[in-house]
Amino acid sequence: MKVDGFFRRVSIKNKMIGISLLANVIILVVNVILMFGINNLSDRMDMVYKDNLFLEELMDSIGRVQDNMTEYLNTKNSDVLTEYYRSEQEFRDLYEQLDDEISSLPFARMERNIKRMCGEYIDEVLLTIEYKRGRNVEKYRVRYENATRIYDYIESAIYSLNNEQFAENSGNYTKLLSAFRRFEMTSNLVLAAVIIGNIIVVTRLTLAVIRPLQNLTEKAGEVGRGNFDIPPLRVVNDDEVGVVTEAFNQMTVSIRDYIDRLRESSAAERRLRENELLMQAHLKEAQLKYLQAQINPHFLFNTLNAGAQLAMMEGADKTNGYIEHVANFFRYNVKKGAEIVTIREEVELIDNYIYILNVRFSGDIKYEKKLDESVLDTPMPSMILQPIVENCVNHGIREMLGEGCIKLEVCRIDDIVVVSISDNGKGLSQETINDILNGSLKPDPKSSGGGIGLDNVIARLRLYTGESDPVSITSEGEGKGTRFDIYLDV
Amino acid sequence: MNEKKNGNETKTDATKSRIPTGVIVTVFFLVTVTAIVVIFFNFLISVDDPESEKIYDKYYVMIVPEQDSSFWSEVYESARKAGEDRSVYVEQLGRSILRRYSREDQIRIAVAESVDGIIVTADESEEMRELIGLATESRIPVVTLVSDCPSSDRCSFVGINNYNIGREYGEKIIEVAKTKKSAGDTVKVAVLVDSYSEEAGQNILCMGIQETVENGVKMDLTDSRKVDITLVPIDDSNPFSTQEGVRELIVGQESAEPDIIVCLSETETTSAYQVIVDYNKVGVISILGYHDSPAILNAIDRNVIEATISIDTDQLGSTCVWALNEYSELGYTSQYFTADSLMIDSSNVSEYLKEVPNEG
Repeated sequence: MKVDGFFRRVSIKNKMIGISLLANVIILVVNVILMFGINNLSDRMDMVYKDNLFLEELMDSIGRVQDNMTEYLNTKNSDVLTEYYRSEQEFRDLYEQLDDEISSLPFARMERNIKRMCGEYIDEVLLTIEYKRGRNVEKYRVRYENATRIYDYIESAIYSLNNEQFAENSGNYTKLLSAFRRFEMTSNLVLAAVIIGNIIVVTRLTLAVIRPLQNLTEKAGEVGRGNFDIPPLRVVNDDEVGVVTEAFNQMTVSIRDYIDRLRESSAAERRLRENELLMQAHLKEAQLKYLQAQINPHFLFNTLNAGAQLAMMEGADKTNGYIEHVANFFRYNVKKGAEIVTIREEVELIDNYIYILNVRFSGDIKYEKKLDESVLDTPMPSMILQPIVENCVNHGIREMLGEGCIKLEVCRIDDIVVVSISDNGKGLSQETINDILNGSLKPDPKSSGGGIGLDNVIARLRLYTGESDPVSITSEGEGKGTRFDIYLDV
Repeated sequence: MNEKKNGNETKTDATKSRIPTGVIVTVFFLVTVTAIVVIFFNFLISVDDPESEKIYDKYYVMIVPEQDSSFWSEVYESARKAGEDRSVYVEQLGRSILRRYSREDQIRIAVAESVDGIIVTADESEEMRELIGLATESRIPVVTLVSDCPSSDRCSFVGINNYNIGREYGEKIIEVAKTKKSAGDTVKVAVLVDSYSEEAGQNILCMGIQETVENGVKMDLTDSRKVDITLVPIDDSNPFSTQEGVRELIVGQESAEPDIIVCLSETETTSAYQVIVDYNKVGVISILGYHDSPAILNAIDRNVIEATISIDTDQLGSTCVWALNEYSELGYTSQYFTADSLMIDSSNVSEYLKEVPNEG
């Protein structure tokens, strides 16, 4: 598979050039060979009658020599002699070309014989001329007869050879012609086969180049229609298409990653927004409840302030203090309702609240505080501690005999600020605690529905902290009190 | 190849079909080129003349009468074979030239062609002597074959012991004469000889016949029949004249009506045989033939021809070449060679017929 490996590594450009080169080279090679064959054949056809033409020429030439000699013997004309020498040279040049081998081939042998006879003839003719010039009548006659006899032999031999050759060549010509027809037929067939083969090979090669591209196009279409969930394409060749395929695979993976990330971040955003909305909804609910409860707080504060001033003028300091506390309590409610406050502010609110209650209920409630000053500025949502304390008072202490006690503790454990509110009231059953934490506790129809419910407090804490359990409620059983722990980040 | 199972059918197909592409291309290319080259060279070979040329060192020509007869063909063939081994090409000169030249002209042509040796069936004419002289002058050795020209410069003579052959014929004539006519009558024997029988060989042969027959008659081996031997000249100088002469002798108006005809050439034998068959003279005229061609052997087998003289043609042909080679190498050779001869008649013809079953 070396070739195949090579094919995979070559670039499309080179592949295309290679394919067309290959196809053309094959056709060229075939054509060259066929043309060579045809040329070879036509050369042979030309050769067929060449020998005959040569013999004709030789015949004419020897005829001229003989004529010139005869003419010279007749006239002894020097022009004729010149002409004779010319024709003799010409004749020599011609017959020297003849074959001189004793060959097994009859034609070659006949040529050799003719050549030898021509040599003999020329010798005789030269002697004849010589004797003629020397006026040796007797000798030149004998020589002339000899020459003429040999001339006759040569003529006859050339005639025979010519005849034989013509017959043979005609046979050869017919043979050649039929061979030529056969060759023509075969070469046409070969050419047709080569062209068909070429088409197949070129188609295959082109398909091999194009197919990965088609696959890529198909997959790109699928991705274009929005389906990113496709298996990665296999990279078959290391050519341009291979590079594009690899890039395409990476692209689909990147797009998928990006989409996943986008999906995650939008989900987070949605969750955030939901929290915010929920928080606002709870706050609105709490505020609404207070607004319902405190019909006109400004009017109430002014009224209360007027009462406080009156009490001061009358010298009733306790009443003055009381009314001021009440006014502070309600002002806080109005002012801080929507804000994030500090633990300190919330603690002050509890102070006010307990004071008011103690005035109302003639100091029934014992209030103990244990505060870690360093964490009192930790932010927290407003209106959290008061409803819990209210709940402790209403459901824990009021229904018990003896002195009720509320303990408020703020401390830091590691990175967590723990705000604990505990009473020594009647306590809560685990079932009730669970109901409270789940938010499924039905409000008691008998209780005054003016305050903010624990469910609201817990929900707001959850939203604020982002934790699922920002509050823990513990009660050691009936009559052993209840403890609320709020966990805040520093 | 571990294909990942990814359910992509087209890709799998593509991969499967691509694997052999490179191989297919290479194979296709090679097959095409090979096929073309093979076809082309086959074609060239078919066009080329398969006959391979062989070059010889020497060139002898053989000049014989009746070169188409089986006797001379056999002689030529054996000479050619003998030459082949020594790189000598022996050619029958008359064959290569369309025109029919006389024996003398053929010798002149051979001299003009400056061949390396001449084998010729000579005679004792003055012209032949001169021509052999001319050849020898041109340093071409001449061997005379069957009939000699002893007065010439020929280097050697390869022939037959004519006197012995004459004796064999004579004995056969006596044997045959006993069956002809009745006691006291004269049995006529016609011996066909060349019209210009200037060659001594024939005369010696005839002498052999005459002496043997005369002796036989003297010793009354012919059962008191007389034997009259006539030499009948047959003109073989022109084509077809032999056949005409033989016909004239047997059935012509001036026919001597011979009882026994002795033929001294193959052509005469077959001609005589044909005339006898044509004119229904079988059994009336007995033929003593010359040479053992299949036709003659068959005729003996059928008792149309009484007997024939078989000459060892192989020996004749090869000896000529051998003599010429020896002469050109050493400058001399034996002056006289004889080939063996044998009388074939109905008693032993079957042996010779078997040798030529295909031609019989």
